[in-house]
Amino acid sequence: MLKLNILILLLIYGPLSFSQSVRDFTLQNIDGELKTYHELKGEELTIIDLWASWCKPCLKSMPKINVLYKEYQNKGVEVIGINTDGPRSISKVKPIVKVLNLSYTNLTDINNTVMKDLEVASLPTLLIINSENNIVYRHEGFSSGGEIAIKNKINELLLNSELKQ
Amino acid sequence: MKYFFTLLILFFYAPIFAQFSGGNLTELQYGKLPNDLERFGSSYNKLNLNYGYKNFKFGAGTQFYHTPYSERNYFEYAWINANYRHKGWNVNAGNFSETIGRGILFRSYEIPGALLEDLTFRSKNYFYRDLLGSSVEFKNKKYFLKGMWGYSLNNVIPPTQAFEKRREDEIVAFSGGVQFLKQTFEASILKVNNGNSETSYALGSLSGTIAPSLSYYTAYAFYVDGTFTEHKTANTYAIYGSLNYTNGKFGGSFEVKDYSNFLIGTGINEPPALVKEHTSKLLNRSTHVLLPQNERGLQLEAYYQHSLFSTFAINYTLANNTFETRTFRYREIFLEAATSIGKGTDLKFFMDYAQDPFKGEKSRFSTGAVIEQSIDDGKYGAMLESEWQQFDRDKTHVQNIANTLTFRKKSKIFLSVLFEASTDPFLIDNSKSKKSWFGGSLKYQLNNKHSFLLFAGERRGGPACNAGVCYEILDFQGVELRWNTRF
Repeated sequence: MLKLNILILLLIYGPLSFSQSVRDFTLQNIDGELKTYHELKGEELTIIDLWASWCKPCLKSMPKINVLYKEYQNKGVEVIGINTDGPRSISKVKPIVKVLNLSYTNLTDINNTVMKDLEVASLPTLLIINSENNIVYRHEGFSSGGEIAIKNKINELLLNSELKQ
Repeated sequence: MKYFFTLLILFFYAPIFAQFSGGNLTELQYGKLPNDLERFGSSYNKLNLNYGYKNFKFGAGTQFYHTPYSERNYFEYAWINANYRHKGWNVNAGNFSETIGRGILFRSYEIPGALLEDLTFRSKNYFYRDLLGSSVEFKNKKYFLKGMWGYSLNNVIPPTQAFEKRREDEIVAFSGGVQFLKQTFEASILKVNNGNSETSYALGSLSGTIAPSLSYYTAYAFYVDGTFTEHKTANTYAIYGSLNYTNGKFGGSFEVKDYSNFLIGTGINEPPALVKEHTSKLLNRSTHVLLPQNERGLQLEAYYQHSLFSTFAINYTLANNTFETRTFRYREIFLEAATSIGKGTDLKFFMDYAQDPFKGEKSRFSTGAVIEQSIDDGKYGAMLESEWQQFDRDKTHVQNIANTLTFRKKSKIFLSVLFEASTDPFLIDNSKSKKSWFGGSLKYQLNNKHSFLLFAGERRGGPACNAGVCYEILDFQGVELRWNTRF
């Protein structure tokens, strides 16, 4: 009877995994070239930052994310910026990326397809994805000092990854 | 029996890497809305469930609204979708989002977290526009092809109304594009049938990079066939162009528009507005709303980054609406400077001047500042946002002010006090000289999965623009609790 109960529980809960993974997606970069998630993802971690030109906290966070990118890009961490501007303001995206001198790749999601797929409810949202493409951290909004929390999380996840190996 | 169990286990464990995810939004309100005689309690809920397995994703959602007034209440199986995405293929069945020609022919959208309620129906629903139907797309680095069919949602009509009213516009569209020498040529055709008329439109666009610092986008759309009169046929078109330039710390965009009789169906398209969408409360409320039936104009925006955290922005907008012999000319110039001074102090200042004859607002001047101070490496912070606006309308001088003071602990707890006042005769009682709104909010981010937002007091309504879409927010007086969950 116990075996049967365990079997039933396994059957019910086994296949259910309440977490979210990232499916491969294809979007244009700011120069109009198509890029896929698998082309851009990092060996250890991938940071996806979703932003819009009209979102002030987004613009505030981006130079700080760029600093983090420069610090961690040699440690298997990649950053992908995903702009979610609609037709109204999409023309402002390229000048902003260039003026802020962002070193990481920025893609445009004019249909918000990827934004919806990643279940993003507010901007900015920063996601950290592990090497198995699972979302392991989600940071919504940005206020001063937010970059410290993100940095601490990257360090923690890189350490966990090292320990696993 | 043994084989049966083995097969059962294999069947259930095949999708062992499949994943469930979802989210829920609950909004509870107790208070008073405009034109309601008494306070009442209401609840709104939106639930989303998703299931992903390899290249497939299935999603479904419900929403409901409950008040003491039965004509406003509903429960709706709101959306269901199956999506397959692999090696350039993207196939949708059910509810999905799509944009054709930068919104000139069609635009769907979702404003995350925004709820829509209007004075006509007094119901409340999630703010999105999608297509209910199917689509197939294939794209690679050289070309793309896309076909779709579906019924577009008219989100102003709430779920209390019939499907035929909410999804009046049936569309069929095909798009294709090729890439060559860093240039992209796209062509689209759209057919709309909404019972009142059957019309077809075509669009051609060319975009690309001329030099590393210079890129462009141009589009021309026109009426092809349908039930329009000869005069309307000749005068139905949309022209849009943009040019981007960057050079070191300087960047800018220049856009032009010429839209004539280009409101498609019940309003399923949303051509680029070329009007700045402001983040400050007062200016956002004053945003010029595009009239695609008849609008010409331009927008110029430039940025300069002085140092890593210091930026300057300037925006000039011109929009002309001609009605028979009279032309309404909207003009706006906006300046903004943002910088960081010392340790943990951020400053932002803006100034805006506009002439809006369509709304009868003469010499509208707005200014504001934001100062944010963070302490202890950003663990604590305080922010003061202060805005002031004045304009003349029909020999009346109007002033608006908005102030918000926010204290925060990390990114977990935000406590805000909000104060707004106006001398606008459209808003105040005859016996008074001004009207004030006073409220407070508390946001608590419990963890990655749960956040709560409590509001108490009075909230000023009016037009609001978010993610390129403008809509109306109703005044509210009372208590409101929002709970956002992700799982």
